[in-house]
Amino acid sequence: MKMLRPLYTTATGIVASVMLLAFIVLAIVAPMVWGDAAVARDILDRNAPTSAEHWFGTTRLGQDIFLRTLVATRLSLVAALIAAAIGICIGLPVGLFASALGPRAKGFFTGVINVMIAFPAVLLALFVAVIVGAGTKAAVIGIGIAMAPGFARLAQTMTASVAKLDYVAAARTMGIGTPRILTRHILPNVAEPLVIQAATSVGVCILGVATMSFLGVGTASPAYDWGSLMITAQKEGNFYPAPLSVIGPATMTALAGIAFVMLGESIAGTIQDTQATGKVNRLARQLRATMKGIPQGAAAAELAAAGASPAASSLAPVLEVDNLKVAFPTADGVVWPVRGISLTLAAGERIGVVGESGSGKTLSMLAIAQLIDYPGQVSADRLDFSGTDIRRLSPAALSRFLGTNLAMVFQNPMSSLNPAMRIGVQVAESSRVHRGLSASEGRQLAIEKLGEVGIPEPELRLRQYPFEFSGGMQQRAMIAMGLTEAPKLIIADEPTTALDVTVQRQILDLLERINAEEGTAIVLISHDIAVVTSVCARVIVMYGGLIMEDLPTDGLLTEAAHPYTLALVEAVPDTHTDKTSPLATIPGRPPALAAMPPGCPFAPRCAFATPECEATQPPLAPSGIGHRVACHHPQTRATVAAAAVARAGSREEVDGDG
Amino acid sequence: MEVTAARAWVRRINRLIISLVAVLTLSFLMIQLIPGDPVRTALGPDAPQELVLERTHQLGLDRNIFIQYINYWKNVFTGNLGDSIIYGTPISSMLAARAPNTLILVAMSMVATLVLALLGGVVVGIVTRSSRLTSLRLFFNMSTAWVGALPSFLLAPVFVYFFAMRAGWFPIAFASGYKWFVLPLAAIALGTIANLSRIVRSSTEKVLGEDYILVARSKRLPRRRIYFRHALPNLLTAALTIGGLQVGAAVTGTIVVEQVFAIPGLGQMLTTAIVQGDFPAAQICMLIFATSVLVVNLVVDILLVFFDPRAGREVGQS
Repeated sequence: MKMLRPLYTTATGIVASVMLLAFIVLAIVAPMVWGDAAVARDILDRNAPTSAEHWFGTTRLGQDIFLRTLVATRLSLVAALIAAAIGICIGLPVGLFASALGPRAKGFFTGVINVMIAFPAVLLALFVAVIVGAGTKAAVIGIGIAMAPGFARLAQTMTASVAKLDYVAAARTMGIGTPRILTRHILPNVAEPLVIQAATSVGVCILGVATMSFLGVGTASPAYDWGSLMITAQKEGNFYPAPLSVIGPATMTALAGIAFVMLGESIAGTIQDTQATGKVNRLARQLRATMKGIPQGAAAAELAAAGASPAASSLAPVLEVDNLKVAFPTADGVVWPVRGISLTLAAGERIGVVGESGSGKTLSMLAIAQLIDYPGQVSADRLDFSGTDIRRLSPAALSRFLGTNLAMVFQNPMSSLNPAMRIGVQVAESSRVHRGLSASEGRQLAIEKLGEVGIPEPELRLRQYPFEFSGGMQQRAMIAMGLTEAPKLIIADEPTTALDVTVQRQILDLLERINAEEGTAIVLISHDIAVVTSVCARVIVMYGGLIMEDLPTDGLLTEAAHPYTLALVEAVPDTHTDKTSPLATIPGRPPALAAMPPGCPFAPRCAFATPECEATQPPLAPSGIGHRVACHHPQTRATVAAAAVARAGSREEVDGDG
Repeated sequence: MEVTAARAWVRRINRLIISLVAVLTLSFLMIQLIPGDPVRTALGPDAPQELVLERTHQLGLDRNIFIQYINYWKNVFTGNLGDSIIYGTPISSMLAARAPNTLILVAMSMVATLVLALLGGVVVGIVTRSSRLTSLRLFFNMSTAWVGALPSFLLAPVFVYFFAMRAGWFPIAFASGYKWFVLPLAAIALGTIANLSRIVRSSTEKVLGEDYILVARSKRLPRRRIYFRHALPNLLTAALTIGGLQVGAAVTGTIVVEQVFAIPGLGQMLTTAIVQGDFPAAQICMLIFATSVLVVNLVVDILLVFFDPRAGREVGQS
């Protein structure tokens, strides 16, 4: 049983199993061994205080309360188990039945279940007790019924999720009957959540049944369980001479309840592996100490000495980055998603950053924006924004400087906009915070900017919430949000990936228009080289946390020299692509972050790789005007095509021989 | 938006009215479902037949069930709740003496739970976000899990032993003044605070990892604004939903601590009534408890519409 593995492999599971085993043994053994002693009266030792002989004191009749507590284990556990069983036997069939109802009836039923779940179990049990009268039976039936709504909901959600699974639909189309689908396909899938909820609810039942007895409406003399021991001790005045007469049975109840709840949680695996995160923190501290670079917010004196004023210079390049690295400590050691990239971005320039996912393109841009969150660490030999070393700014100055000069647009507009805030508030927020605009000025600004990005009726739309916008409109609002402070640079990370193809073009046109009208520099991150070439004048190709090639878009077909760039270009289909031959792909996968090769990261997938490539990473060296490439063996489209023909020929030869 | 919110409120109030009708009907049927003659059961086998008949008539139990049902509605709304079978005293005067103690305990523990759990959960969530201070997170999760699992019938006597018997800071049981109030409140609310604050912490951590928080950081907003304006409203949804469910635990806890501290309240009245078979009294107590659970959940639902503009729409779709 794979499901039960956590019971002997995780700390919580082991503790829970040991506790449970102890309780089960006690429930079986205690009545046999101490059953008689627990009812034996000793009239000379009535209401005794705690002593070495009577740990929990004695009752009014001189019975030892400690022994009674041990013996009561059986009744307390059995009552709880029966109650849980009642809950399962009522809840599951009802829930299954409900999931077969029509949508309207199902909705009503779900409403009823929700109200009942919000209802305290003990109150429901008291309701039952009014009808059937006080006693163990009332407590068990009452608590059992109170468990039923939980199981009904479980059955409902499980069948709903399983019924959506493809193989269940497949079984249905194959004409397999409902009972068979239920037993062969659905039950095995719901077994685990069922066991988890059953274990948890036994724990709840232990507490519930004890509460009923404690309130005097459950088990009563001469029978006794933990709850009735507590209330009897309290009523007979044992608490003051022997507080353990109440606290003892209460503790047993709590421990038994916790044991079952822990059992459920260990199976569910809700307890996190904290050892791993401990290691992450240790590595993060080491990294911070070793990664050189000026810490954010250097001393004020140093700021003055450097003469750094946080004013954006319009002549300086927007970005000058040298040897930027990002490190993330993980449970398996430190990984370096960005391993030293250098680039310069002129004012008003449009560059595209392309690469497969995991190539480090997003993280390098977040690092430039100083947005890498703990435990990630960033270092760079140079990180200047509009001529200002942003690492030397105080936190307040940095906020104002980047808050007004840099805007970011992210991939998924739905999750990027705050769902609980009106669009207008979010658009005007930067200006209100950084420039101290009033509410009405902010409103005017929001109307203006929303209009600029092509949102119709901005004065109505700004009062709406993000969920009332379509995806394209949300992304326009995001861009409007970035434009309020006339930034020097917009970093757009896959801004069109989550959008419709027709909307994609509109968003790209909008970015182009902003660039043309406002002179805002744009960095467009994308995995889609076609998107990048349609907007940007320059393309940066990233792979394995490094820049592979940096060249003008115009030269992509004629100048590209890196085998990876060439492969990307080849993989883009156009109207001339031969439709009969399969689409070009790059064989193999990008290297895992944890297993980065020592040489060129692309070498394992490269047709032109030599031992040199596998041993050393080639530097990113200039190769013509505005063109840099990191390759030991630069190629052209012609040489790549020739090599492909040659390979295909040799393969045919091999096939022919075989 | 205003229209959706208004529609959401109407929907919720409708649901409350349906639930209240159901609760009223069930509490009426409760007595009809008692096997045998409930009056005879209550008064015992030795009671003279005349007394049984007289009480039965007094309670209107000898009439047609539909007339009884209509009368029950009429009585509940006019406050004419009848007399206790056992004591013969008006139930309304019994309630007047007991209901305030119980309602204060439930209300105070709800307030304490929501305020302290939100505060604690958010603060711990912020300082432990994205795997910072892992040892604090571990300690917090473990301690709240354990404390949350401790039942009031264990906490209450432990508190009495340490803070009343040993330290003498608080009275052992119900007394005049306000001091009696502290230990029962602690015994009820400690568990609910622990449970709710654990959930608030994890949802704080989750919300702080959302894209819109990264966007807020990219706008370089002050931290205070990111936490209170951007994160808080979004985590209130989860916190209030779970917080509303804590009213059940608070009611159970109150019934239990009334027993421990001998507080004359509705819980004690209810359990005594059940044991004695005083079903008219039990019926009314049941009705009050059920109604307060429903009303608290409605208030939470309404607050949700207020904090989470999507709530109105989700209901419309489901």
